[in-house]
Amino acid sequence: MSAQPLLEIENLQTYFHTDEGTTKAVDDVSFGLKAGRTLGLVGESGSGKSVTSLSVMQLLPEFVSSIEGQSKISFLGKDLVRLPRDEMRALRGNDVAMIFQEPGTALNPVYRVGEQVAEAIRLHHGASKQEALDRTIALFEEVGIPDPSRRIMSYPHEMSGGQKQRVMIAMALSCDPKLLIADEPTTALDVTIQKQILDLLAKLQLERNMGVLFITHDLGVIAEIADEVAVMFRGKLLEYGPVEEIFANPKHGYTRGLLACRPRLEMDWRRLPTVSDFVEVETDDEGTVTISERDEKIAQDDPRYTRGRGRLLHPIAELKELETVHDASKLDELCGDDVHFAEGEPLLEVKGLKVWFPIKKGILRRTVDHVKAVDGISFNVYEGQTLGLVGESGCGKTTTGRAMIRLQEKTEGTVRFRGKDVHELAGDDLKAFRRDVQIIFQDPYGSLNPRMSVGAALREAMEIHGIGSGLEDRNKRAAKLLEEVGLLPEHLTRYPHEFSGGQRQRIGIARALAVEPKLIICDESVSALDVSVQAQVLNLLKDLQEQRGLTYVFISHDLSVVKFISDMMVVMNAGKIMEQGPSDAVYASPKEEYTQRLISAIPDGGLELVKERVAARKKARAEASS
Amino acid sequence: MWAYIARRIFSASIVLTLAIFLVFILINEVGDPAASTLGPNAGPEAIADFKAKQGLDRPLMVQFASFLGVGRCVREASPAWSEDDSERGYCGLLQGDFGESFSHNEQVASVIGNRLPRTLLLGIVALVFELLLGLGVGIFAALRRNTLIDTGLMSAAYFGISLPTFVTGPIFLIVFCFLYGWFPLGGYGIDAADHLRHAILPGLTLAIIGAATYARVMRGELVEVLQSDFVRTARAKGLPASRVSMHAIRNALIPIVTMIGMSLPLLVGGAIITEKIFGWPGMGMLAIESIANLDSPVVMGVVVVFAVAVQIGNLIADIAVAALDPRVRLDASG
Repeated sequence: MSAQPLLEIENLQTYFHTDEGTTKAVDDVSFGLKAGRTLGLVGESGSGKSVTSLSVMQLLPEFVSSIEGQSKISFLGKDLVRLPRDEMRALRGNDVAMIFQEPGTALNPVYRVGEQVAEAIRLHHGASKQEALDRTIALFEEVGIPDPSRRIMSYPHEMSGGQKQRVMIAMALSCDPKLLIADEPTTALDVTIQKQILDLLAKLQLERNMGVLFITHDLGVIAEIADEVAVMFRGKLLEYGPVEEIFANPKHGYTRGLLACRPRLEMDWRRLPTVSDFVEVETDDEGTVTISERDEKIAQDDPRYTRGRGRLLHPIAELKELETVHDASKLDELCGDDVHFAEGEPLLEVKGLKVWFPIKKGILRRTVDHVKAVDGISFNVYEGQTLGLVGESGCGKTTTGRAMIRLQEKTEGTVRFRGKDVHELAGDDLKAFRRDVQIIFQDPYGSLNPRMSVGAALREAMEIHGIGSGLEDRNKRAAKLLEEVGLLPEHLTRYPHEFSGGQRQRIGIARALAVEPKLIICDESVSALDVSVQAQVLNLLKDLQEQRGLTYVFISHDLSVVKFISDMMVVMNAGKIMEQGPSDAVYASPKEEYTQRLISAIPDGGLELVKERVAARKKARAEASS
Repeated sequence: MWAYIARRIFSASIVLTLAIFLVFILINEVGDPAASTLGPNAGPEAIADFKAKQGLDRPLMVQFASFLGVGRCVREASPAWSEDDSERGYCGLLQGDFGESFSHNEQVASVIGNRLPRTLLLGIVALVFELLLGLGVGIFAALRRNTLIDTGLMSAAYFGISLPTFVTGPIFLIVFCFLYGWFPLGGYGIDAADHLRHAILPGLTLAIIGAATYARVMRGELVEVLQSDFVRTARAKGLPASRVSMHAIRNALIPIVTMIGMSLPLLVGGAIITEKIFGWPGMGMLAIESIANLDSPVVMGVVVVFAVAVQIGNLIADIAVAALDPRVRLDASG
């Protein structure tokens, strides 16, 4: 059964022309997509995958970008590169539709969502206002938005991220497109929501026989949905083929690196391979990129990935009290060669912590109710340990982190650091606490002052806490810190905008380390990073922990990352702790259904799963066509 | 919404009382209204007599309470006055009584009632020019960003911001009145149509700086909004350029509306120089004259009107922003 070709891209070259010169954002890329099939376009930021999709849509940024002479993008026999503007506009939203990464910003905040969907229907189908609204309601129903006739009147800010993405999908489907371009449509969503959206897309694709160009940096997602895969890196297409082949026998070193660097749930490596273990990239003066492969084979027992300290768990007596390990046989299972147990008092002790936000109403603004962001949670963190705090957005994990270091006032309960109540500290004690405990935030773009050089940012932290003497000494320390986090001393005089996302996160880490803290809270610190960069930062955090004896509280929505880095894991939902225990034990035998759901929603990206999914799709297509 | 407005009115009344109190102390403690009203030839007896009649010899707080209308009246000329202390009524702001001017034999309320509509007319004409020119040029330039037209318009706007009214006003007078005779030389006119004709040149003079500012801000906002994700979504839907622009403009207007609201009080009191140049008998002229004469009842009246205008302008701006932007909920703020 061969499907008809829908989209053919030949020798696509999209260049950006700026004052600093020409960037070959997409350099000679060719691939094709058939109706009813999904092509997964994989790559990290800067790989040119989004530019490729915007080239298809002819939505490239004006003035600076150009599609070069040889390029051809043919869609149903039309050459999109040379199509007159009006004809292209008539195609957009009609035969070719697109959904974007950030549902939060992709919808216009001042229009009702129903209006925004109906608008396209009225435009392309000449429907009346009422017809368009009726069709919108039906679409909302189809994409699984509850109570659609009421929801069309909502504004974007009144909906959750997952619902907004469903609105985007409804909008894209509104004119029955033949080609759907999905640019990282699930990256900004929780894993459980991601799974729902992927399932929905697969269902809609089958019903409508759409071709889907699915863009992502996450091979795990690709494994779930793609029929064919194109791997892009630095504007070049490195590998292109059926999904089973890419996963079973990746030809290019970069693909192998990408497959290896993702923390997988079933794997128990201590460190992650990184893409730079597999490929070497050189850029010459004219901006031409040369990618050379390293001959790399990774084995399960490769010493590079298995070295490092094992797990550091709570004292045995305390572990027994935690539900996950209450029977003795499980405890034995945990006691491997390199499992250690903490001794003495916990470094940080959270007991019955509650953080409630009041809801105020009326002229006198009386408190009528509370949002119980954190609702009575208790856990301990021992020195040198990594404790993972995992849960979906809105579960209260970030508020917990903030209350732990007193960036947020508590409502009830205690947080003790070295036995002292954090919320009672004052004067010198508070200052010492502020030095001992640091935080690394999620967004490496927003959390660095753009007008402060890296050196100034690092020195400021040292000055406040009286570390080092004088400018020269602090500069020396700052340079050493930068080297420690994998940057260069020359970077001291540069400003944040000159760095990539991964580099900025390293700066954030250096800034936290500048005051020689004991405990670092990592609040979604790797969530905004590409998988390959994420692997580097996770390795860095592990190295620093060993060298400096740091204690981490690692907050993340990604259970696979938390399982990789944490000794102990706390699973949170709706302000409460669902379960806690050693990470490996929680993963191996989750007690709560909620934890199981979190685990099963993570795309595992294994070859078995790929084969299973491909077979299931074939069967579904056969059923649909008969 | 109503709860919000009620809270705003409450906080506004506190701010108003404070502002009025400060000016009241300044004018009565720093200056000597009696001496400056009666002139240099007045003897001490005449001054004392004037002070007694106007209640200026009473303690300052008693005068202030009387002015607000929360204390018994101290002015003999007021109908609420009585020789008998227990029968004296109230004659302050709360009763709608602004007092009587020292220099004209006229109620302050009627002086202001005479001047305020004129200033409002001038202000509204200026506002219309500001919005038409400012927003129009800003949007036009943003939609043609990085072209020669854009650069030209923005340079012109920059030039406009740099021109003070005491330069543009006389230039307009010379060109449009003396040379071409299109507009009257100055003054206020005799009937409604004539008032409007007289208001156009001073209105335009008054509008230039505001229009140039709005043009630059509007252009900047719109250029930024045009790069946002939802504009890309609108284009991906296949919307024609005009509809895409509408999506962007509505978002770009939100910060502009706040700016306009903040500048509303200027409509009432910002035209002192322009009124002088064009001989427009409005609040600005009144403020200058009464301050020069230390005609404290009139000064206080002008201050009250300005202060109320500031509060109303801000309230209107906040309500307008909430109407434009569904994310802003009045009840949740303030």
